[in-house]
Amino acid sequence: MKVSCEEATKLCTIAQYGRLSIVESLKLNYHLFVCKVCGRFSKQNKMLTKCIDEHIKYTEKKYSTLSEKEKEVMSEEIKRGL
Amino acid sequence: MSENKHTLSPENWVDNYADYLFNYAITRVNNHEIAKDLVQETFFAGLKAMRNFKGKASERTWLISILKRKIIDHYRKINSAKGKAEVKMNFYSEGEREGEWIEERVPNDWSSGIEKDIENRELGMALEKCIDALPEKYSMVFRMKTIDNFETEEICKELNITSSNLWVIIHRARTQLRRCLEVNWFNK
Repeated sequence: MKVSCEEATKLCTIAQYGRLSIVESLKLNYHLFVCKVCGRFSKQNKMLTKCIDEHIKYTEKKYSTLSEKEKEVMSEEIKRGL
Repeated sequence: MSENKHTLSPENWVDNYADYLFNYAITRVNNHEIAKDLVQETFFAGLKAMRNFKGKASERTWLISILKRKIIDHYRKINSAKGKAEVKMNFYSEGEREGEWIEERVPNDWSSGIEKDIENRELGMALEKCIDALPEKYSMVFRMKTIDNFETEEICKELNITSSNLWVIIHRARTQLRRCLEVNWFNK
């Protein structure tokens, strides 16, 4: 049942993508119960997921575009290729 | 010919799809020039492949599928690039203490009120900087899995790595990101 901090934090990361088996999940929870440092890591790792999700939402909403000049060049290139 | 069949009109591609494709690409590669080149390459590849267009999908869907392929090719190029930089180790890799935290890498308490920072745009920028500071291979695998939502199997197949490799890379990337945010944001 015992796993190292490295192994436990890795399980913690895998859990952020939603794929722990029952055994893995037991191992992780046991470790988090006895190890304060990894508990902190786990909390911050979840926090990181939230930051990332928020950031993705924002980037997609922002809608980056090309400049008119860049698009002109592209149009020219395509005409040449036709 | 059925009436519902889609057709291609390359002369309107730039007007109709350049921004859409560009936005899709830049969200994934986070670099204006690279994203622009990928869009351009997509149009060229589209021109070349026009004959293979069956008209089953819309023009836009068809172009996006080409762009996705271009993005994966771009990732593969990074993957095969030499000079494999590693991230700093966070755990002892051998000896009695193998797998334990290295003292100076132990996570610190995050002092600032974290929850209220989440919607702060500057935190997003700091995060983006931290992702860019990762060794290229780490940031690539991290992006593919976390931002592009590729299936694990797909990433492994494209990059020719095992799933256990993949999780080691993602884990190291995240451990590094956590630390980078700690230093540059939460405990500044």
